[in-house]
Amino acid sequence: MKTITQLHKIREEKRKELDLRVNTKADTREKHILVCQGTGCTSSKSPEILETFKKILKEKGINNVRVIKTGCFGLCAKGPIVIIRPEDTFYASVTPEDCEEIIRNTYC
Amino acid sequence: MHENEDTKCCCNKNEKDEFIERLFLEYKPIKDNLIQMLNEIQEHYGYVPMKVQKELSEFLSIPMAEIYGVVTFYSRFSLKPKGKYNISVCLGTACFVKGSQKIMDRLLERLKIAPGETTEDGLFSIEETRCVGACGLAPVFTVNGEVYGKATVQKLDQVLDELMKQ
Amino acid sequence: MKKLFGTHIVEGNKVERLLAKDIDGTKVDSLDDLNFYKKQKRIALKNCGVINPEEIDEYIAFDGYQALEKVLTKMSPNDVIEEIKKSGIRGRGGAGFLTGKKWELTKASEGEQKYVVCNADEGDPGAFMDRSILEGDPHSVLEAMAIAAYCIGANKGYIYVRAEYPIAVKRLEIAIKQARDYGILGKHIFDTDFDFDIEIRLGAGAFVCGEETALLESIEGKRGQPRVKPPYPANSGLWGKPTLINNVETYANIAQIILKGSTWYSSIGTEQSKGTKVFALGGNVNNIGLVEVPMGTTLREIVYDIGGGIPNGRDFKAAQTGGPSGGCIPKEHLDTPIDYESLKEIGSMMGSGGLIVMDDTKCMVSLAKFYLEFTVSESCGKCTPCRIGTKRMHEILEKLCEGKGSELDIYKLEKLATNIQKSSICGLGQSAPNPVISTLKYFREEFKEHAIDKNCRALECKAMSKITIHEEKCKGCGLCQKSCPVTAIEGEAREKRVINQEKCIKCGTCLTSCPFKAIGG
Repeated sequence: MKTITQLHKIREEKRKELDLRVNTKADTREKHILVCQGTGCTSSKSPEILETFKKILKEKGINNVRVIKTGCFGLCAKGPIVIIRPEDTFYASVTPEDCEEIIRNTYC
Repeated sequence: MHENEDTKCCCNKNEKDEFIERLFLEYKPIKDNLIQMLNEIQEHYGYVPMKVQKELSEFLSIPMAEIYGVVTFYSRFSLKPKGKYNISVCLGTACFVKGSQKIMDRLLERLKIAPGETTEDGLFSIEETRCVGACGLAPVFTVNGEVYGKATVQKLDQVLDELMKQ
Repeated sequence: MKKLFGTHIVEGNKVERLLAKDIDGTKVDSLDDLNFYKKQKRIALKNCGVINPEEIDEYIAFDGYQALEKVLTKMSPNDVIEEIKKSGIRGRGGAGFLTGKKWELTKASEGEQKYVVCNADEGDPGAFMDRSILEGDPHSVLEAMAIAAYCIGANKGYIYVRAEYPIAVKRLEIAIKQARDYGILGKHIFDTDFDFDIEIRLGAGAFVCGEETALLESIEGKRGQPRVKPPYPANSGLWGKPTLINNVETYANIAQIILKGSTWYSSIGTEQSKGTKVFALGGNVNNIGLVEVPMGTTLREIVYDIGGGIPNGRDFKAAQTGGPSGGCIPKEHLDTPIDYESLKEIGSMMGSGGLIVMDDTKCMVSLAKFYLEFTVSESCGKCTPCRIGTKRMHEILEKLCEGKGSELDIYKLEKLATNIQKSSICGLGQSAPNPVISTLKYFREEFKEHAIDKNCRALECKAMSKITIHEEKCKGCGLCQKSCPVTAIEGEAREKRVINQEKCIKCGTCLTSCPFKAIGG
């Protein structure tokens, strides 16, 4: 159970933490890799892409990059779609084999 | 017809199997739960055996005729078991416009059965489906739930040939 | 140089070959630069692609459940209903009934026990708007249902969702559990007297259960046959109690209307059609996917600016909106603004949001037949006009597509259509003839060609189409031969190819594989 005050606190803290999702100038060293998990992309192996990202990040001990499952971006014909925040890079037709290269280029 | 289904679905005709027992514990015996329970039964057995319909009728206090009426109304419920490979072709508008009818026609030609039927050897069954929501990959067909997107008549032939070899 | 160097380090590099491209091939660095997104306005889809739908905290971070808090602690049910009415939002399921009015009517109904239902039985083939909202932002629906329940005086809600949407069902289950854990569903929500909880009910593959009264029958465990209206669900719905039923997309807008205000919402869209609409763009268009645009955006803008135009160099022929209940929009109406009234005027309807684009290889008679096939199989059977009438219409269309029809058949189709429209019990039957009426209206010539000349100009109706390779255009590349699944194309390397008509199964694969458009009727 959460009180209204507790919910307000969650909202405030979480909003700061997730600012990079909507703000390309967010003040953070973190990166979020958003992988669409709608039915369309799921049929094209996006869950595998998600898991591959997580695996590689764990293996390399990278801590400031998070992999997030998210909903439909809309451009279904070009799926699976991966978006990197905060810089708003938009990758299309990604395969699990591309994950390594994306991480290498995203992480710094 | 009934005999076949009964011997196919349970090992012992007189015992309710574990799945049914668990199901009857999970749901309250009220009429509203019929469709929810049928969904789970269909998922588990791949069809709704007559024997199970009888048990449902007793559990929910609904006449058999009514249960049969509900099972035959909804397209998700089938009275006959599906094949080892259940091939479903999407005939939703987005897929239709991209030529899914040709894929269905080819499938019917090769397997020589109608949608809703299973081949004699129990290997294949065909289903028509109306939109699985993967319209970005139109046209689509699925084999046991696995999606083959951007499908062509050739791809279908390939998949069928491979499955027949196994 | 230093500054640039600094930015480069922080931003990292990009994998060039994977960057999404615009239709003309220009690579873009950012989402907002893609033509696909420029004309969109994401309100219902606000959180899709931004948050993790399985984390309630992420929903809360972006104003989630703030509207519910505002409603329960600072507004009365009448205040909320006034706001919804002023916003002008109309039901997004297809009928377009004023949402505020529906809430008001259900509130006014007498009765201790009332229900709130979400219609997530998205049955229109080619539509996946609701699925995407449920998969990407399920909490927005839960929050709106709670707000609605508060307004009308209900304490129980049901979400009726297609069983064919397992991912959506799973995300909803997780969302409901998380909301319950936080006390946002259950008893004394936000320390008030308001109790509300939600249950999921699965559909079982019947299109007619998208009709609100058939849906209620289905929740009650029966065959999904529509009830005669009146009484309307607002007065007598689930188990005879007053019930509010709204579509997923309608709910997805509610929280933002409460937070940003009705003035903001009503400033978007047109005079009679406020807000935005989500469309599932599909068929013969480049950018197949999900789009959300302000009402009043033209069809041309959606198909060309957002959709990226027609692939393979083909021409636009028609766009279908409203699924099996809707109509087609031909080239001459490409500049029609998409709103409830304008679409009705040209013989179509908004529908739930499926928008299928067709190019000139599509036969319109065959399309009408396709929709009737669907309607015939999905008709519940309760009333004769729909049960028998649609079957008769389908038989006529089959005859026409097999080259066995006559001009009299066209007359019969029109007569049947009027009768079925006027005498069916529910929306399914009443709108079943729409695809036929609208294709007849704009493509009457094609029907006549099928009936009198026994010709299908789009080469789709196999019985009447003969596919040939035009000698003068053929360059002998052999791509058609390679693509033919039954080796019906003959000819040696670099020679002009010929189709063996006896072997040809008229699948049309060669047609689409020819880069010189040398194959046709």
